Amino acid sequence: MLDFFINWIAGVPGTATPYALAALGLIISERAGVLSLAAEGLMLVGALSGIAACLTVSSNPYLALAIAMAATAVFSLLFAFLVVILRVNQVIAGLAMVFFCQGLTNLVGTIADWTNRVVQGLPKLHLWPLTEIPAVGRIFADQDIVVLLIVPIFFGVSYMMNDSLVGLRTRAVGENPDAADAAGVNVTLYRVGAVVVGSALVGLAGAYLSVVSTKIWIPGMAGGRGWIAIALVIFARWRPWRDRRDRLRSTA
Amino acid sequence: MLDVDAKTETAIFAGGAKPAPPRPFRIGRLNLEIRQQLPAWQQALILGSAILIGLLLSGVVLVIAGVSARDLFNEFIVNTLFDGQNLRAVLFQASPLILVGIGAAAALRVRFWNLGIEGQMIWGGICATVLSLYHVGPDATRLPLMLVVAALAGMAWVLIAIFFKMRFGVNEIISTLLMNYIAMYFLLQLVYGPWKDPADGFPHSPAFAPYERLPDLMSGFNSALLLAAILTAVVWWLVHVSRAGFYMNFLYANDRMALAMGAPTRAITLIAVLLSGALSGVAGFAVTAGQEGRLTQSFFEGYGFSGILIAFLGRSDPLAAAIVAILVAMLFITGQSLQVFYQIPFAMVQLIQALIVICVAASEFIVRHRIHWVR
Repeated sequence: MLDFFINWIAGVPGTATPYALAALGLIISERAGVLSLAAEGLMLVGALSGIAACLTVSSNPYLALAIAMAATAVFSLLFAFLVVILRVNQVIAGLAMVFFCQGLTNLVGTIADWTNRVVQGLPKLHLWPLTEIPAVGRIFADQDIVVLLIVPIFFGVSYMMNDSLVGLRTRAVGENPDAADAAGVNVTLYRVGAVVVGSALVGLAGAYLSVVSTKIWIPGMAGGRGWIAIALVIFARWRPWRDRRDRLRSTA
Repeated sequence: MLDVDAKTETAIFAGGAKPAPPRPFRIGRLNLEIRQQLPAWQQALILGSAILIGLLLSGVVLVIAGVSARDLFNEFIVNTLFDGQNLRAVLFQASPLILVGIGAAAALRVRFWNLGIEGQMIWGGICATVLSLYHVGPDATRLPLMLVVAALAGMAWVLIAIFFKMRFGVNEIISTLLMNYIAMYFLLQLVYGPWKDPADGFPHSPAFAPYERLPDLMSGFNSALLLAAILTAVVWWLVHVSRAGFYMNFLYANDRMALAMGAPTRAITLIAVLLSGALSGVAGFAVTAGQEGRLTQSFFEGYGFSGILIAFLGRSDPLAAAIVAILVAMLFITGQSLQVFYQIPFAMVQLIQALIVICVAASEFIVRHRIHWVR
């Protein structure tokens, strides 16, 4: 029973990491006023490009993760172009992007023969003094660097959004683009930037799935995690804020 | 047609209207103006060229993937349209696509994004299969009963999402979408568990009896097409002729105004959304009792997004959506033969649909804006 429990706890961070990374990325783009429904598709792009980098460029998993982030960011430029510059309806553009990415990754993976090929992946960390603790030590032995990286990424995103000038402008662009524009903020630039940066994190989440968790590419392997990440963002941010507003309105 | 984010519009627009700061080498700038209206023929021209560009891009992708251009033309145009059997296959395939297309269009008319079409199809299929498995009612009335139950099942599944939206303000895009996964895993539980076919042990339900399947009408056209045509006519009447349709337009244009003017906004929203769920449920029935003849584990795949995209391309008009659905069915059939003869994954069909939708959506920018080059 204890064994099961320890194993279970040891498995939690690895399972949660893609959700956390993707949700952080989505928060950035949604704060700028872009509902990025494309997350599911961008995750697949990240997953495939991570494996592709492992198989073709080098077997270094860190490089693969970086390449996957860059590839996803470049890919998201298409979405940003549609939504921010051409002002296509965000839902339609997001759904079309998901479809596009699903189709493209499936096709490219099949044609280039990257499907079902095992890669080396990321080594486990050995946090030496912690792993020596009896019974509980396994929890610390089972983690990898990305799980630990979540903490600085989280604080970085939080600091950037809440305490920096860039974050202030990004939020302004999301909440009231008219006012932001009148104040001299380039709305287009900030929205595109937010989509690209957020998508890079979504791509990292996808690459974590393929390069670190499963070490293999399977078509459609994101399996709805992108959608769940979008729901997580809503649970985390939209609801409390709206609750408060509604309550204010009813008391006023 | 679809709503533009009004705030974005003015924000970026205002950026163009500001006096440009003096620069040493001015090459001019793009100025955008919002158009009120564009003549219909110009709109049609833009739409047509957008679809053409999308198809050309898809063709390029296919050629890169290893299909020669001549084969592509033969496969896509000649084989699908000028061969009686293939044409029947296209129309058979079109029936569920028409149903999901007009279903999504009905919901879009009240600004409800029904992304739960697949979940509603699954419940339609499951409930129709229950009647088949447990031999409910006399054999003669089995098929109509299955149809009704499937419609009710789809309606019930979307009712959860619309209830949460109306009562608690839950975003329907997420709730309908995630409920697809609930339905899907329940379906998998059934077909891998208690409903596994004892005849061959594969994860699908036992085959339906002949009288439980949608029959062929004269000259091989399936009755599913007739069903889809009748329902399209009904929805067309509801949207364009009936009073409810008028209210839907009112609601779409300005829901607060409609509420203030005393229009029954909640009832109208409910009617449109429940209709959408019912049509999706019927689509699930049409696939299980039509193409498949049993409940399979992936009969719903691809229909959900196709439905939304069909409704978008048909501009939420039932008749236009039905026509688009037939074209998408052509794509499905071509995709199947590409899969068989060229080993190109069926995801290619998704890719082509997405490319066309992206091109059409992007082209609406030109419809909505006049672009000037200002020196």
